[in-house]
Amino acid sequence: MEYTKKDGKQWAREHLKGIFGASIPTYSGDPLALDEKACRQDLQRLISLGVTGIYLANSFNCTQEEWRRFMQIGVEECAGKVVSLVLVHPDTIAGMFEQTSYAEQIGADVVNLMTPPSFVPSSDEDIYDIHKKVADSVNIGVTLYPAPKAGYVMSPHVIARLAEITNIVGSKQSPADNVHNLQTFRLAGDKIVIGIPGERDWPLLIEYGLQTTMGTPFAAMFQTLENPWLQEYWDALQARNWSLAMEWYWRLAPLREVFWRVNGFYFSQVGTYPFKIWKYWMGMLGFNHSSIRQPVPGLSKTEKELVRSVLIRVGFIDEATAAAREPDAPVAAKLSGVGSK
Amino acid sequence: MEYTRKDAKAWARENLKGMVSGCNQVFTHDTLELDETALRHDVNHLVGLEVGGIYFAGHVTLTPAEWRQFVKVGVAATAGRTVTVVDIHPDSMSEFIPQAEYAQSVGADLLNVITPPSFRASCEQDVFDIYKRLSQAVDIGISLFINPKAGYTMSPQMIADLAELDTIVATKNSAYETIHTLETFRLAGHKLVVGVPGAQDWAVFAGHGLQLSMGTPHARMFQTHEHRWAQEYWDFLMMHDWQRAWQIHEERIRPLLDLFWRTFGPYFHQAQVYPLGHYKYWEGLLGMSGGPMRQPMPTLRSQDKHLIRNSLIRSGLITSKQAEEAERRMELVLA
Repeated sequence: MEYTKKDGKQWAREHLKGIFGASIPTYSGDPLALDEKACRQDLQRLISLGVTGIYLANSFNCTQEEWRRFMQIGVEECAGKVVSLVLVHPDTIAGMFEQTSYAEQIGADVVNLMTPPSFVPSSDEDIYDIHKKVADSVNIGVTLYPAPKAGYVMSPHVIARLAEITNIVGSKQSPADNVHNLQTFRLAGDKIVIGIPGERDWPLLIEYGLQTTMGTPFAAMFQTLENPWLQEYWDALQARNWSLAMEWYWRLAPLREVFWRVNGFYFSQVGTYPFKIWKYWMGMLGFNHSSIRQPVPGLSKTEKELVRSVLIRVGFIDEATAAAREPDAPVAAKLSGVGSK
Repeated sequence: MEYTRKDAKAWARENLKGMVSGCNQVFTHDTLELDETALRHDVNHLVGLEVGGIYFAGHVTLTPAEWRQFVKVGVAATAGRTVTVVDIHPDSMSEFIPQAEYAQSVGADLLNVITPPSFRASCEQDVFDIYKRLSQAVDIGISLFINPKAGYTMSPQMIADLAELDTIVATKNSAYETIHTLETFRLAGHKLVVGVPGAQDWAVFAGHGLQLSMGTPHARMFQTHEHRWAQEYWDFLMMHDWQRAWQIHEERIRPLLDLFWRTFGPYFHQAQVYPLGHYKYWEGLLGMSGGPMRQPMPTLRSQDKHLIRNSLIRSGLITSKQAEEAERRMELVLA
């Protein structure tokens, strides 16, 4: 990190800007192991899409050692190019302190903190205390992560109180609730940077000072090198060019519809992220395919077809590219030159 | 109606304010005929809640004659005490303009219009033309009902284009798409009154010029004469008192919204139907008539009743004793 603890907030205001892509690790082999080369390729591809930061998300199905290795690779690839934002969401409370400290040690720019599943608060005070303790234990900037998967949704008031702490510098808003988002902007928007990953909500929140997405999967899923749709949409919003922004909003609608069709059930009913579907989607767009360790749901034949067909329909890929990029496509097809898009 | 065609927009801006509550027909328990007495009771109940208007929504199972009776009795019972809006959504094109003419003839203040299921638009011009034709056929003001159940979703630009017509004065935005409504405010909010029915969206648009919740279920489902929670929430939002609005949202409105979506969400999203029997039971517990609905209608199962009743008691909106009394009253009618 390039700032001191007391300058964290100012650094965040200047650097937590624009679209932050989200990267999840790529695994290969049998048994599955972290594929470092593929991870680096994926990070480089994301950077080439023009993102201003990368959210390094690796909170599931990996060992402590793998978590560390992935974060190290991520921070290395981001260094000097884009902001590195490390997700800290371990299984244990002790892990939360260790991982935050590790992120600082390897030179990450900022962390995104979510308490472990074993943390069950009995009051807002408990939520405040644990976040304060972690922030106090390090110098690195900490962003909050209000989302139901924590087991609770941190209220805008708690966010505003935590925003008073020197090195709490942002919040990645995933409460699936715009009333919460609006209230957070009102109570804390002048103190910390409020990030909104969900692209559907950007037009609403841009007027409240939205300046970053803070880790969105859409950076990799709703655009390609030749078709930077998400970036165009974001730029039009930042320029307050509403009619152009709305054109892009509706142009993204087919992708949005399929995204929610294949993810909505897992988000709302199961409370999990179907990363197999994400990896398949990203794989179709030129990122590395990856097997994901169990337990991770998703990727039925129907889900694959929905994803494949919408990407062809909007013109992101053609039939030949799609065929070559199928995870089980023959190697010859992969090497034949198609799929350069 | 109290205005002329040329004054319609000014009338709407002045008079379409607050929560315009939905009001459905009531049937007798034994023969399932329209129950005029019960309908009058419901109108009085809503007037007592000081709603900004009453929105009469006739269900598809009504015959054309019954629909007319329902509208006539509803408007007459309101007797100018609040604004009356009549929902126009007939089965066939042949009833489209006649229903509008009838609502105007019985003295309704406004129409809320959705094209019949048989209307298929091949392009946006078709949608524009049908609404324009209607607006020329009657003098009464028209609110556009933006809802996917039309078979299409009118675009914000189309709404803005239609808003140029002198008697197109409002919308009921049920597009289930926040940004669609936001864009409607931007493109047409200065030309007509954009109405947002669902309480889940009020806070989002209160900063964008929201003045109307058109045809909302929440004015009658989220409050009683004793506990005016929906009204308090609305008033804080209109005052831009975000702090107190948030507080009542968290304490009172959110639990009721959770119950509402748990009860109705699957029907809206999967069956694309309004389970009016569920609505009737819920509002019956809160002092309205309740009562049965005609088929086809999703069955109100005992577990649905338990969930609704127990959640309403837990929310503090009614007591166990009030719930018992309401159920007894509904059962007594049955006897």
